[in-house]
Amino acid sequence: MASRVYRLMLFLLPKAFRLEYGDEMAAVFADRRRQADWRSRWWLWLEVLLDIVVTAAREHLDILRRDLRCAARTFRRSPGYAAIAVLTMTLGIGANTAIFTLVDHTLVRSLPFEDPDRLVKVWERAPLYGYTEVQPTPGNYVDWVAQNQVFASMAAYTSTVRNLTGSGMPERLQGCQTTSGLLPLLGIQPAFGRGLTAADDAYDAPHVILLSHGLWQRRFGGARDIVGSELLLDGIPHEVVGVMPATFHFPSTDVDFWIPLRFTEEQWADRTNHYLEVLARFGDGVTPALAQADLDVIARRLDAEYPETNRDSSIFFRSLHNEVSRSSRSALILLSLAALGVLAIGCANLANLLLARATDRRREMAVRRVLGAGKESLVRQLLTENLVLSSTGGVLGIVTAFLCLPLLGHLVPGSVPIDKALHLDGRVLAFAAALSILTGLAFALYPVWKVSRGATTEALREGNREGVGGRKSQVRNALVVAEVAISVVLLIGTGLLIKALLRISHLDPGFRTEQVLTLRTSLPLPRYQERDDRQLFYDQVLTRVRALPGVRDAGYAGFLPFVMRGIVWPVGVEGDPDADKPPVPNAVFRVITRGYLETMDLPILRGRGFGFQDTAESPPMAVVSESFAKRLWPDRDPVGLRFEFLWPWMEDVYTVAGVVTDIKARGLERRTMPQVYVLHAQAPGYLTHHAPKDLAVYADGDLESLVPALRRVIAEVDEEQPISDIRTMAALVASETTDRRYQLRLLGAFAALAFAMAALGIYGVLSYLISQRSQEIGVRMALGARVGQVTTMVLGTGLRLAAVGIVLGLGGGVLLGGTLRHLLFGVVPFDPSVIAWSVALCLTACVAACSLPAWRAARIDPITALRLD
Amino acid sequence: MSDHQAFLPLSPAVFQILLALADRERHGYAIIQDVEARTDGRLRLSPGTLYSNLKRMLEKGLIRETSTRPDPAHDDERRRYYRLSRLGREVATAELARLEQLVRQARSFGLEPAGG
Repeated sequence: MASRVYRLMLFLLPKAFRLEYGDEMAAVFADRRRQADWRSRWWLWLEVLLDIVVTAAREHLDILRRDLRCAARTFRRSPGYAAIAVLTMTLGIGANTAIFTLVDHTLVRSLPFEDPDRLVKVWERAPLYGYTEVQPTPGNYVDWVAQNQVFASMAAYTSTVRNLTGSGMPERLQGCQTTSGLLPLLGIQPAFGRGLTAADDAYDAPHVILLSHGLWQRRFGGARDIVGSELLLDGIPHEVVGVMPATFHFPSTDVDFWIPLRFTEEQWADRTNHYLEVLARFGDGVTPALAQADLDVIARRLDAEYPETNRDSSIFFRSLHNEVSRSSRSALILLSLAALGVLAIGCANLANLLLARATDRRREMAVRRVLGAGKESLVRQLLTENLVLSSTGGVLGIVTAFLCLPLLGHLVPGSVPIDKALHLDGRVLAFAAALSILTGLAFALYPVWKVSRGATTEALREGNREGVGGRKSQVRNALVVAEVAISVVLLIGTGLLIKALLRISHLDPGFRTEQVLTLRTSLPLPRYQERDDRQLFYDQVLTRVRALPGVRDAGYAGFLPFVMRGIVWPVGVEGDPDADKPPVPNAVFRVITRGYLETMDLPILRGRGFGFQDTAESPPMAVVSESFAKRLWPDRDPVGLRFEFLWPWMEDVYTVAGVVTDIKARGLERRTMPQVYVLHAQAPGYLTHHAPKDLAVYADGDLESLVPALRRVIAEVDEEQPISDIRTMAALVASETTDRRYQLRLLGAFAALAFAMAALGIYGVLSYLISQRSQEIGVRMALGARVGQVTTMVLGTGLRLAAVGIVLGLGGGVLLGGTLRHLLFGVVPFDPSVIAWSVALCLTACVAACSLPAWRAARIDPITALRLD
Repeated sequence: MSDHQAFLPLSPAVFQILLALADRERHGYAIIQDVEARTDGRLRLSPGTLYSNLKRMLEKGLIRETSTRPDPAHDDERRRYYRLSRLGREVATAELARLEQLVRQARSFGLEPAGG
């Protein structure tokens, strides 16, 4: 029994050592045990255990040292191979580490809040207004909070903008108005100072503000005595009560401050305005199904109680985590696949190289076996070599990834509450390490298998020849085919996305994009509460701007196209009894000043634009887009016809003054909706949120040089008024495709890499083939084969492989295109031009990769070739 | 001579193994027992230490395995016998010379073992 245990322990030792000395050690152990009495036997066991562990460690380390020395010698003998292998691994592991960091950061890692899996965003479906997904109304939120039995807590918030004045330059700040429950719900404390309390929610409580870490640092130099001081926000003093931690970003990364969400009782009862964002935390033991059931009951109850606003509406929720937009998710998955593709091709290349070397080293291995090296030691030697290569590549890959992280930060969507700064952490390093080891093992798999099956003494007798039809060359060919296929898939994916991007960039947004400068002046409340005060500001600014040299026209709008994607209101024809029955036509509602339509170059198709005759006293007029007119009055001339907005608080009936062309109001990639423009002078004065704030100036010459003059003009009219978002219309339109451009650049880089590696792979295999078959080729040439025939044979071999790879890749590419459909903006997955380009590129590279070996084959001298061996 | 210097100084275990094999061929356990007896139990080689040292000494050519089985009374076919090689003898002598020189130097500085 005891000796059996001892023999088991011996398995810790390297096999060779165990075979050599195991029996003797067991014999020594048996002798010793016989001589020990029962007391000292315990000591004996302890000693034995220690002895074996120490010896095993020493022997294994010794072997490792030898293997490493041997590997180093091998690499010194063929530095080119080592360099290529390390470079390939660096690129493959670097790409994957970087993308893993990004994916982990945005998709995998839980949000930086307490128990984030139980956080959900709550949404409303309001079929009455044609909304399949919309922010809840204040009235509904209040009822949900009161009636639900499934949420531990709920909070409402909405984004807001305030002008910070007083010390220093006026600045426009992005902020969040929230009920006091938000921070406790997220489980976040201020870095110092206090958070918001229930007392802060009262409508008439003193004004307080929480600062973001970024704003605190940027504007106040990180002074801790900021707490307790007062800031002027839109002219109203707010007491700073706290500063949030640097890592806190909610609801998005650009938020600078948080202030209480305050409503009058009447505003809290509002069930028509859908604009509150609602966050909730599941109570203990609440399942999604249970929560949904409870919310369904509440929705039905509200439907019965308030049919005029809540008819057929329902409530649903989505985990906060899943709010990351679908398109960025699939783009990230695509990038991960591309990075894996690069790594796979890299592995295939290395496997091929190794295979070629294994054949070359067959004699070396056979000699070593004859000299007594065990199969085990040969396998270990191969594995050590590969692991050295792959871990060197891994370390360099991590460094590469680290250097790329600042660039990758651009790929983190801005709409999620997480930091844009990416970090390499333990998980990422573990991932990279695992990847290095796995790839090191993966590309050694076949050669190792081969050796362990017995790299026999036959190799010694056998010459160095190997036929094309051999098993090993089949594996090599399969690897090359796979490489070509993967790179074709990536080329097609990239091509499709490039085509989609081109299509989107070439879309006509419908308005003037060149020579238009835009900036924002958000007029603060309550200073500009009155419509006439605002109108005076616009009139004074516009008059002075139009007088500037080079300026052709200027106008103000509530929101420029693309800047605000919402405010889509239901409309009905005046006097139509069925007007509010679904489906209600919806229109993008924009409040503008005179000059805006002209500045944006929206041609009047019928009727007229806004003129001096349209004043606060005259009947309210509207300019509508072509599709709006068609939708409401398919067969009539719309000019002079009347319509209304189906909101209880919009009483005015508007008369169509004119019709303009449609524009892409909500973004290049979004379905456009009919548009309605009304004049600020005639719009209801309480629509402060919709009041014009974006100034558009159409001018000749250099737009940048106009900025100082514009600043001066605005300061002359109101010196407290901050200016923000200065940019050209062209830049605004280009920003629509920024995300895509970043994604595409990275994907393109991966595709190029994959492509180059695949070409290298083909080249490597063919070169090897030539070197193996040089005798055969020499014989053929000696027997009268012409140079052309030899070249054709080599080219043919390479191109046959390429062709199979391309065909497989085409299939994969079309499949990939299918899954990318929603990123493709109408480009079909089997777009002929993309496929043609990809195939052409791939073929060119393959021909290039084949020609050098072919040329070399043609120059083989039969006499030299036959003399070898 | 310089070849031998590359082996020096020898570890106590290696030196003792060389000594144990100096007068006769021994098998592993016999080496352990001999070393233990000569050092009054102060150096007890464990099997692991013994055999990893034997392995290295074989590789370096300090000792050889013998095919003769000089101890038929206690013979066990699992046991292997080792003897000193010529190189091993030279290295042991070189180590001895090194130690002697060390002792001479120490004495010339007036250092003496307590008992002697």
